[in-house]
Amino acid sequence: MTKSRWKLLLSIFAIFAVLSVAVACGDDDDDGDDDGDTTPAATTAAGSPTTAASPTVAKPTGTITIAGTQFETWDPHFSDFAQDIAHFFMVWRGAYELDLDNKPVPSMAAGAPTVSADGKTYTVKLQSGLKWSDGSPMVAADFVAGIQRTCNPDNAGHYQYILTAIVGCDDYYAATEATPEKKAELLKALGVRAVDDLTVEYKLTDPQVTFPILLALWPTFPVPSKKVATPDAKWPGPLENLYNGPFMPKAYTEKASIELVPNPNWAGKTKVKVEKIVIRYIDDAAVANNAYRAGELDATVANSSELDKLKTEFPKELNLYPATRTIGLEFNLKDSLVGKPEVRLALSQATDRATLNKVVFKDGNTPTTSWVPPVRNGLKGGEYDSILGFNAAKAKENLAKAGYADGKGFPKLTMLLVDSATNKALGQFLQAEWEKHLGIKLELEFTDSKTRSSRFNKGEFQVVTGGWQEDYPDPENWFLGLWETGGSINKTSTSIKALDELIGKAKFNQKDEERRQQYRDAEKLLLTEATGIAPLWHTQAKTLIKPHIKGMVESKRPGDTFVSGDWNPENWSTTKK
Amino acid sequence: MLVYTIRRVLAMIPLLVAVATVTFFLMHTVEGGPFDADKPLSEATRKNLEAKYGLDDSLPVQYVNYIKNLARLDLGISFANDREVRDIIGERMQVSLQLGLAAFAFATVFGLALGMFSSLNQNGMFDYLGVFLATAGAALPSFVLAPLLTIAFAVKFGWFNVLSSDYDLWQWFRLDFSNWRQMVLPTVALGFLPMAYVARITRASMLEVLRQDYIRTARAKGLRERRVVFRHAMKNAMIPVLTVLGPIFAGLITGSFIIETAFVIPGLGREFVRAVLIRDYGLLMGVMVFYAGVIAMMNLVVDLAYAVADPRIRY
Repeated sequence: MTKSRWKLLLSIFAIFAVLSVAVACGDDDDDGDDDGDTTPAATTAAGSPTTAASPTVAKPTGTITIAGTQFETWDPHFSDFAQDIAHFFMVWRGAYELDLDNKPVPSMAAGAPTVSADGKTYTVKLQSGLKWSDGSPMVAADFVAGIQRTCNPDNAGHYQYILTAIVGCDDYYAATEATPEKKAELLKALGVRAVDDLTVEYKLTDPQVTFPILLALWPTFPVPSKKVATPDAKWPGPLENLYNGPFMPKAYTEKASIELVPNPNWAGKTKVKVEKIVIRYIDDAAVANNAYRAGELDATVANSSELDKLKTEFPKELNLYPATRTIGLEFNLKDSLVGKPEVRLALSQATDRATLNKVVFKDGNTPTTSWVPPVRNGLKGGEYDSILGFNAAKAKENLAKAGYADGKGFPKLTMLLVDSATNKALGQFLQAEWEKHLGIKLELEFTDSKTRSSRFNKGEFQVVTGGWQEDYPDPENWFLGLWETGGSINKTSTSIKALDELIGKAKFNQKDEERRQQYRDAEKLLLTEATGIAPLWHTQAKTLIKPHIKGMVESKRPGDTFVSGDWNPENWSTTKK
Repeated sequence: MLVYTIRRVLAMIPLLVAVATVTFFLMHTVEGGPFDADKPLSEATRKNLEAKYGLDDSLPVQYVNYIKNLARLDLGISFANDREVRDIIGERMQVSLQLGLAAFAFATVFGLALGMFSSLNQNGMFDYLGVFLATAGAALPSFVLAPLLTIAFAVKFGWFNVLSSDYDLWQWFRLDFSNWRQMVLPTVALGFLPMAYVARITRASMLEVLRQDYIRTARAKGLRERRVVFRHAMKNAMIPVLTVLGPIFAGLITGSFIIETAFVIPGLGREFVRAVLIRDYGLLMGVMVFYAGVIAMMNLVVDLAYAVADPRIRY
């Protein structure tokens, strides 16, 4: 080959390389559009710090780096992803926030809400002098706008269903195809208004004693109206938005990390103690645990599959505590086989939950027969062990009652599972248990997560493993929409008349203890025949936290997503320089 | 050659439309949609989401809309985070490209060197070492190699980082290599297999060329061995290597899900697999069309390179 040919060859490769670079690097921000969350790399902080007096005057020190998961959306009035919500609580707060006992306490509000005699009108007074992170005033209209966004059909907020008690919210949300005029009319009819700059009034269709809890949750967070003028306007990305929480983003690289610094205008009671929080986005817990070992992370979720090793490797840094998530066998009651109560009871009673937890989860969860975790229903746990718990003899007896003595003539039973190593172990365990105790064959069908969800949602399944992760800390969240006949997220076709009536009564009951007892009674009705679900375990939160960090374990909650205490990062501190 | 190149570039248009069409309909035949979640959505929410993303239209209407937008180079938005797919691909590709270039350089330099030294020391110790490394590279999957490298060199010795997410292609142009501690392990993990491949091809090709008459003649003329190898043998031995370098380059710069997940690299490979798993139709379509374009372009580059490397080929 001649020299000139080599040169030409090199030129071709060079041209392609330059083209590739151009493709990769082009259009970073060439349209000048700054209203979206197109945030390619670390740039400037959202808003500019002000010199206003703030609770952060005692200088925060140190950096805490934790593992997290990339948020799907930065919009609190749209999202229902746990990782998004963990971010939201770091940078925004509602009129109220939940204390460590999960009771609503004032955050941006000046005090407890005033409730009308009929329990249908809540009036919230805000603290005076509230400011967004850029120093602009935060007023009642911003809180009104939060409700309007969540109820807005074009925004399609996933958590609208928790605001159905607000007058007009359902009607507005259902107006998907309505004209703009009709939507404007429905927006006007929404039961929320700013009485003045410091007063928000919420009108409910029916009394709901848990309403103050909802005012502490992300769907009701205020909107920086300066940035988001209408309910259907696009929500700005991390570096373009304004914040009222303890921290605010300073730098952000999608899929890599976000850096949070103290918000100079944070109006909460607890002062921020750390100078910077860095969240590194890591999909794989095994990788996060290696980064923790190498000192690149100060805190992370512990990898469940190496729990035994972690217990000996980090005995003082590993934290296990109950999470508010219950998983069990979910039955399709329209199926002719598992529609029979005796079959469901037999399957539940043939499952040795303690051994399952030991073999499959390395003692990483809590075996149970309860639907609502003890921390939420006030019971000790174990109340349904005699009905649903492991009892091989009773299981055989129930199977015989269903017409399948010793498993003879038992039709094909298929369990749908998401394809994962843990689920494979779980499926094989159940196969072995049920064959041993009942003499039946279980077929396992593994699919990806979306296929499993699709079939579950369409009712195309016999039995799956699934359950519920609490949205907000009240027993009603374990029933509303889930177990009433035709409930919006009732996918097991559960339909028990007495249960419907009880949930209906509890929902509007303003006597708190009586209401809680009604939910305990509802749980009994649900579980007596394993209708819809036979609970197997409550999950445990598992975190690794370096000893130099304080305030994480102390502010842990059952709903922690990334690390302990991630709903209250203002409580975190570090002695590391 | 110019006419041929233009013809090939124009031929990419129907190719990309075909890829977009097949992907579009295949994607919609796969069970599960973007709004199916473990925690079921209410029907009202599902209806609003479908309206928001235009999924309430019939499939043919959605298809026509997509192709129309594609013609305007509008790849649509990601259903997962409402961002422009074009922006996402641009950002992710920058990361994958930086890592891919590093891995390509590693694979090419070490692969060529290993192959050449092996061939020059055939059946010697160096040859056995080269063959061993080449075989190990081919046999060791990246999902094993990546954690092995991490545990050994990042966790145990602390020489390199476990997490590798600070990428900026432009820093190299500023001669800033400050993120080297992050890049070494993913570069080796990504480049090891192609390095082994290049080494094997180079060795075999060199052995064949070194036995040619013209090499014997060159030696008989009394040329120095270095000149014989580098001026006479290597150039001709490179033709088969060039054939594989194009696809290797395309494969490396378009990202690797395994390596990007193992080292937490925000690249395109990870994004693509995620788009499939969460049924992010917008992003999935965009990345597929983009990949098709890159591969078509690389094939064109290789075809042009053939003509340059081998005078017998004419376009």
